[in-house]
Parts: sequence; structure tokens; C-alpha cells
Amino acid sequence: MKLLTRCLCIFFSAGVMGACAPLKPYERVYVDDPEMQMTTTACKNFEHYVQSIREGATSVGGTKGNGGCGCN
Amino acid sequence: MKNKYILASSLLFSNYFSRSQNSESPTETPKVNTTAVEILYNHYLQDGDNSAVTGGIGTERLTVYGPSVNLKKGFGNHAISLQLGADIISSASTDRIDFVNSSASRLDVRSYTNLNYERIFETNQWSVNAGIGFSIESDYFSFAKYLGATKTSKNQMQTYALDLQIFNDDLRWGRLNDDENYEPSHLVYPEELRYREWYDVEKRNTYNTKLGFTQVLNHRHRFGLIAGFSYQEGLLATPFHRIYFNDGSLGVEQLPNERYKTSLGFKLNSFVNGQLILKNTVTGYTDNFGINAFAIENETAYKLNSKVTLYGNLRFYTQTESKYFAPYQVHDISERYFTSDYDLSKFNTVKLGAGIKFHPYSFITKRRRFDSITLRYNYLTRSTNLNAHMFSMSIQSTRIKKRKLKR
Repeated sequence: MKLLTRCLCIFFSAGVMGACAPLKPYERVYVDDPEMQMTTTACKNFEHYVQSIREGATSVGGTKGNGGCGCN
Repeated sequence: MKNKYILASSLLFSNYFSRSQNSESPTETPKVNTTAVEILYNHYLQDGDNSAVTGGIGTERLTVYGPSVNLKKGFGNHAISLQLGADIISSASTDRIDFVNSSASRLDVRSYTNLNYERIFETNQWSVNAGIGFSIESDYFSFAKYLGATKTSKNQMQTYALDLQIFNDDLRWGRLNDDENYEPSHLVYPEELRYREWYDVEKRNTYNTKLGFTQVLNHRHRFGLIAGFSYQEGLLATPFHRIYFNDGSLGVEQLPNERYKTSLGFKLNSFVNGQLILKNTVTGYTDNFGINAFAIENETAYKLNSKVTLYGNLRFYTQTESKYFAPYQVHDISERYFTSDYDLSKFNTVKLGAGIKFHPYSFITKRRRFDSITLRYNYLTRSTNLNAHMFSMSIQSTRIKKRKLKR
């Protein structure tokens, strides 16, 4: 419960970051670059899948892409 | 008189051009339908000496050949994606379930498919998606359901995402075996321990929630925050994992029927100059099995030119030991829960990798565009003497067809 409260506080703090000044369209050339996005790729999904099996922790943002026991 | 001719000619020209424009707009808006195809191959090699099948000792040699294909069909603001794949697994450790070398247990196939629908609402910058999927292997069946939503702020400085996943798994063996009439029949225990049933449940359910927030800090930096919560219930132990107790007796792995996992990650992507991008991630994790973990990762992308990007990545991970873990012949038979699976032991891992992406986005036919080819290699070493090599290749292309929609 304490951890959940901390997580919510962090998210609230993150919301405060909304105060960052908006960028004009011509200023977005770097932040809109495909490499700057937070999304993952199919190749990296495979690495996350391996990590989720070979490590006791589930990698953040890498929740199970598909099922399987991973017991080999 | 001359002015009249000029005026008449001007009116005719203006009428002609206005007609030619009217053929495209405003009554009709050009749109495109896209069909993106990604062909992917993953290759995984692993070796180690702490197999859970043989109680924490013995080979962990494993090879996985993993071809798959992803299709995504876009119709304006709607998209449907389909993933089909198979992992062909050659495992020396699962071969020890029955101690008959080169038996059927050495080779296994995991087939999987996922179907997903996405809808984008442009006016209020929402997107929602929902999907289902399943994976099947000889001793495992998993049915998945997905639901997600993403909201982008009006000024496009923030995004908020929520993803929900449910996995309903069945650990019984027999779906791919004609002796069992392709029906799930029983759990697979090590050969010498099949004289009794060791568990009273055969199924496992997993509920995952992921919350994501991203913020554009300035014209070169993007920050991300991702929190994950997971709850699992049912049979969380693996039936064919042996336990050798300190009195010489033998049993199978026993773990609690409930597990809670929490993870929190921070990401910072920085466009350092016109060519160099640094992607840094820090992750913390804790669960009720007693595992606390921490990971730090950097991926560097270097844009060599407009068509070639080079990648390098380094990841360090450390975790504490689960309270249920002990090595070979250390567990006492009086304990309630026990495992000798080194994935739940105390260790550090280092992952080091490199990659290259060639992305010409050039048309090879009138409608077919070759997007990119990506090659990635990663080497993983774990302090428990487990080493792994990962190789991935992805080829992406898109078919683009122009269509006209009446407003």
C-alpha cells in the first residue's frame, strides 16, 4: 500500500511537469524523431521476453507480450 | 475591347483551375490504406549449469529458433494487426524430465498468435486498442486478452497510457499429442515422481496493469514514467522442476499460489546533437516472493546518415534472492515452499549489444515501399555462470494504396 501511494505521488509530480513550455511545430523535429519515442520494437520485444523469463523480475514496460511457460 | 478578351480569358482559366481542384476537394478527401508487413527472426542460444529440471545442477543448454510475421492493416483511423509466430525450442534440460536422451521432450514448439484492433479519435487525440491472443506448446496453453488506451495532450507535450492484460493459462500436457487425442490430460512431473499428484490446481491466471506517462521536457528531451502492477494466482510452480532435499529425498517445486509484482521505471530520451540519441532507463521492482530488483540501461543510436542508424546498448541488472530459493540439497523437507530455480536466486546480469538499421523508405514498386531492415545482437552473462546470445533480424515493408473518401 505504501508503495502504491509512492507511485501515485510520483505520477502526481509527473503531472506537474505539464508546466513545461509547449513547443512550436518547427521545434519538434528532434522530439518527434522515431528514435525518440518511448515505444518498443519487435526485436526489443524478444529481448524483453527473454529477460522476463531469465530474471525473477518482470521488466517494466515489457509485460508479457504473449503467453508461454518459459520453463526451458 | 482588348481588356474584354483578357477578362474573358482570365475567367475561363479561373473556371478551369477551380474545376480541377474541385475533383479532389472539398467534397472528397484523399486518404491512404496501408498494409505493413514485418518479418522477424529471433535466434537464442544459452548455456549454464544450474538447471531447475535437475534440482539446480546440470546443463541449461538451450536453442530457440523463432520466426514470426506481423501484419498491420490501416484503414484511415482504424487498424487491425495480426501476429503469427513459432518458437522451436531444443532444450537439453527438459530432456532430463524422463532421463531419456534425444527423446520427444528435447524438442518443443511454442506457437502463438495475437489479433489486435486499434481506433484513433483524432479530434480529442485518443486512441484505444483491444485484442486477443493465444500460445500453445505441448505442456502449456495460454489465452490472452488485451485492452489499452492512450491520450495525447492538446499541445502534444504529454501522453497518458493505460494497458490491461489478462492471461488464462493451463499447464496440462497433451494438446499436441495424438496419444491423448489432442486433449489436455495431466501435468508433467519428472519420470520418477509420477506416482502421485503433487498439486491440486492445474491453471494459472495473470492480471497485468501498466500505467505510462511521457512528457516532452524541451526540444531535445523526452521523459517517461512507467508503472506496472501484476497479480498471479494458481499453479505458479513448474511441475517438472525437481527439488533434492538435504536428507537425500526428492520432490517437485512448490511455490505459493499467489504472487504480486510491482515495477516502476524512468526513461529519458535525449537527442544530443543532430546524429546522437541517448535512451536511458532505470527500473525498480519488488514482489511478495522476496525479490527486489534494480536495472539500469542505456541504448545509444547514432544516425550515420539519413538511411543508416547504428545502435549500441548496455544493461546492468541485479536482484535479491527469493525467500523460497535454495541450491541443490539445501532445502529441508519440513519447509512449505521450495525451489532450486536459479532464475529466482540472487544474481547480477550484464547485457551488451549492438545493432544496425537500414531504413531507405524507398518504393520498390508503385505501391510497395521497403521500409527497413534491422539486425541486432546481444550477449547476456549472469553471475550464476549462465551465458546467452540473442540475434534478431527484422524486415519491414508497407503497401500504400490511395483511396478517396466522401466527406
